[in-house]
Amino acid sequence: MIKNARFIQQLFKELTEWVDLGIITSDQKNRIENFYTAPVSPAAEKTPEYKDLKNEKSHVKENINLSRVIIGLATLCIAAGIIIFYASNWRKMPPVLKLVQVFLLIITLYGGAYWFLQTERKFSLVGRSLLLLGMISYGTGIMLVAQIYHISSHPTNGLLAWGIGAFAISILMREKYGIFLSMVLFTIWDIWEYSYFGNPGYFFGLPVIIMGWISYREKEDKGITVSAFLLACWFLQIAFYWIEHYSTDGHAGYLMITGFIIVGAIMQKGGEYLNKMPLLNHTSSVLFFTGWAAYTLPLFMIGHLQPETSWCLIIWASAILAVSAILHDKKGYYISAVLFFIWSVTSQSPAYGYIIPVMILSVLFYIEKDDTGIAISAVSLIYYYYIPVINLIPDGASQGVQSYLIVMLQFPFAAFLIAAGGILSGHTILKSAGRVFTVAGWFSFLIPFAAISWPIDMQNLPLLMNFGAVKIHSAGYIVLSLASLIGLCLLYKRKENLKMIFPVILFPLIVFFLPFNHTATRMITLHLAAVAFIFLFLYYSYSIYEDKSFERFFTYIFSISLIVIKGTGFISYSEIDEEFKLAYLIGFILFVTVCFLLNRLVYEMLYARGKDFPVRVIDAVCAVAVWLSVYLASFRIESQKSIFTAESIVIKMTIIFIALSVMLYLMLFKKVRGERVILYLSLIIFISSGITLFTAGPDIPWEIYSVTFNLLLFITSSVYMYYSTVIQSRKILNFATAGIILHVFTRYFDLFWDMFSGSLLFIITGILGLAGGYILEKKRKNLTEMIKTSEDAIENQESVK
Amino acid sequence: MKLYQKILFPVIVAAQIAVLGFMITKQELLLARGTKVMLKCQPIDPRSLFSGDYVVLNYEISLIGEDIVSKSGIKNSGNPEKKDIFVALKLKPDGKYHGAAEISENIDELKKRYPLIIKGRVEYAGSTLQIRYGVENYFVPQKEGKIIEESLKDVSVEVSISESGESAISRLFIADKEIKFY
Repeated sequence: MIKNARFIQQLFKELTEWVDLGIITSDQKNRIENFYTAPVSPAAEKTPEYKDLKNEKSHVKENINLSRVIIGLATLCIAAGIIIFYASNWRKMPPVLKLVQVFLLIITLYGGAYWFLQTERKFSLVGRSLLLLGMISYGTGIMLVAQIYHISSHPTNGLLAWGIGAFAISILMREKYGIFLSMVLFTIWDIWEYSYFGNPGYFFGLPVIIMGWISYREKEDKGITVSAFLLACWFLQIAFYWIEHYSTDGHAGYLMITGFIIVGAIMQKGGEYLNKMPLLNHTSSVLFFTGWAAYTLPLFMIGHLQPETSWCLIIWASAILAVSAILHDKKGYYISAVLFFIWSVTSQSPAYGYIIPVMILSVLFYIEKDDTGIAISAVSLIYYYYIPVINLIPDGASQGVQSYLIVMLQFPFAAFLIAAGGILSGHTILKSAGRVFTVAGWFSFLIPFAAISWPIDMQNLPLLMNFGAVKIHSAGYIVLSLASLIGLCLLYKRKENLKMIFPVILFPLIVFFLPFNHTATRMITLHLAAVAFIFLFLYYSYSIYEDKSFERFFTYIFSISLIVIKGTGFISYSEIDEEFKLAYLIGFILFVTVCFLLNRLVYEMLYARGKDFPVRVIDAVCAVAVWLSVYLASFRIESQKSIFTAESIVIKMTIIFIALSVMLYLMLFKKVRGERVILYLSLIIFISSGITLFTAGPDIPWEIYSVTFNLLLFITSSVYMYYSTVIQSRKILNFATAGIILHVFTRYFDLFWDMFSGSLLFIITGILGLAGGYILEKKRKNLTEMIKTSEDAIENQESVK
Repeated sequence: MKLYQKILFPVIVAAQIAVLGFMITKQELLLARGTKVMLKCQPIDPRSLFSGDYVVLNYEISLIGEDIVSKSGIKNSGNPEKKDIFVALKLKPDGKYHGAAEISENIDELKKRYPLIIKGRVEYAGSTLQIRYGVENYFVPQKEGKIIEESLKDVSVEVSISESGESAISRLFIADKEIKFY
């Protein structure tokens, strides 16, 4: 291994020839080979030739690399030296001499390159470095002339001349680094020209294409990718130039939009096609992304086409749609769907025409059997429904009436959507649309209950059944209701269980004939309907539908959101209307009590039928709601008005809900098995708050309410704690503990604030807080541990099984 | 090297030299044959990456006043920015320096009335026009731009202008004294 690696390689070659010619024997050959290879490793003896030749090769490569690095560095140094020397504008040398010098330099360097690159001379590396230096000196010459003659009018011309010269000779000699240099020069030239001189840079494409072609022929992966990237930039630059200069409002602009989309589509297809070729896979990605970029180009035109933005969007979306339809490209459908949607939202006049693209897209998605697309179409259709509904409201109508009308129309629309969803969900291709309709339908049904079940003034709302100022809406209401009835019949024919759907479709028809501008009618109808639907949904979603169905999920959404929304409303009213604070809070307690009892009733009924029902979900929500109301009522509340002085609707509602509760208590106490404690608690709260509600008045001292509700609160928290041990729930325990802590602390501040001086108060609070916290924590821990051990015991038992 | 490379190599090298030769000849001809005018200026001092230090010269005629602009009606035909423009020069009352008399996008129109016309490019168009003529850079040996910088007020330049309006810096004066760096 002392000898030169190349020599050994040569030697091995020769040895084989010598054996063939009979100069030496193959044994001698092996011995000679061993002599050179033995020191590498003892194992090498077995397959010396192969292994070591390989070793040598890598060694040889390293040698070449080193010389390359040295020559490369040297070339760089000289190049920098040449440039800096002339740039320093050395004053001791007259310009003429400098010029002569540069000419000599150019000729010498190129001459040297020419000499060394002759095939018979084996100093190609030196030749190539001289060639590069020649190009550098040419560029330096250009700069020198500019310097001597103070030329500054169009500095890019010099760059271009340099780039072309370097490019020509690099292409001729296939000099990679020269091409790289000229590409950098061309790129600087292009950016400079485009940004400063406003030149579109058409020329830039030519050298890039040539470079791409040469790289492809030489199978230079990087060269191809770089030229593809530069071409993409070139394309975008020209596109922007055109947008800037030629996109006028009218046909030219629209034609350009279409052109961009077509080019983009071709590029995407081309990208997909090239992806199969091994050498071009990077190029294909570049092409593909450029295609996408071309799709977005019309975005930059919108500014130039104002005020006709909507036409611009329509043409943009249509072009993408048309091109995608030809190419069967589903992505394009999605994009055009989004663009059409944007158009319909931004359009200044009502976008009635939106239905056309929606229908075309639906058909296309249907043909493609694309689930997502069909779902998108379904959403678009639902959205489209609101365009006429909103825009056809008579101009004279006030803002409030407009929104009430839209909310009212949710009823038949929900019915229609639920029916349509039911029908479509059986279809093989349209099932995703069916799903969208079902989900949207159920949510639409929730909206009116949340939005208009309040004592708001809707006197101006025209009656639907009168077909007066809002006849189109009345007609629409009827049409939707009838359509949903027809849907119901179709579903009935299919022998589907309609018990949960039927009331939802029937209810809107009843609403149509009710005077909803009358507050009492509306309030009573909606509240009774709300609790009725909570009951129906809870019951049927668990008796008809399977596990994890949307109907079950929605049942919880419906019940919980109604409790939360009502709670927020009642509590807000209680804050605003101080004189009826208690009445509002108790009103909410009544509402929650009914919900809670219904939930329990469903549980018992389903239990009787042998079905499981997760009763605790709604239980928990009700528990939190009731606790919160009682807590808020436990503060110092003064000068309450009697409920009998309130509007008649309040009394009516109260009586209805009390009657409902009493009826439910009677039913439940008959049926109930075990777990009565929670029912008793609810009964206590119900009775005491009911009594308070009716006895409250200006003459009653506030202490009575306070004592009642503080007591109730304490009982509630204690029962929760006890209940937590009954059903072994750590969550309830923690909640009850937190509740008691909050209760005690607020009460402490609330009642004794003015009896002590500030500092004393805080010291005692601190000590008490610490002690109380310690005791509670200890108790809680004990309880937790108790629960845990019993849970562990159960688990152990199960694992034993 | 293949045969075509052997032939084309010297051709390209010759072409590169010809480019340089052309540039030199063009400037030399302009300087030799062009009409000499004196322009007054105020310099500042930046640096070019390849060509070394230079002084930026800002001439009186670099800014065309509002009256001349409005008289020419040049703004009626769209935004003149980044476009070529011709400026007719006439001797100022001091009898030494030239100033702008009229502007137009068409050289022939000005030729009828004025003998001296210089070509420029509109940099910025407001109510006045900012114009570059290509004689704004004066290259100096490294760190020697200061000489010019120190006497900002008194710098004037002799510019050579061809028939077609091309211009080149011929000589630089400070306080009427020619400055030579070589």
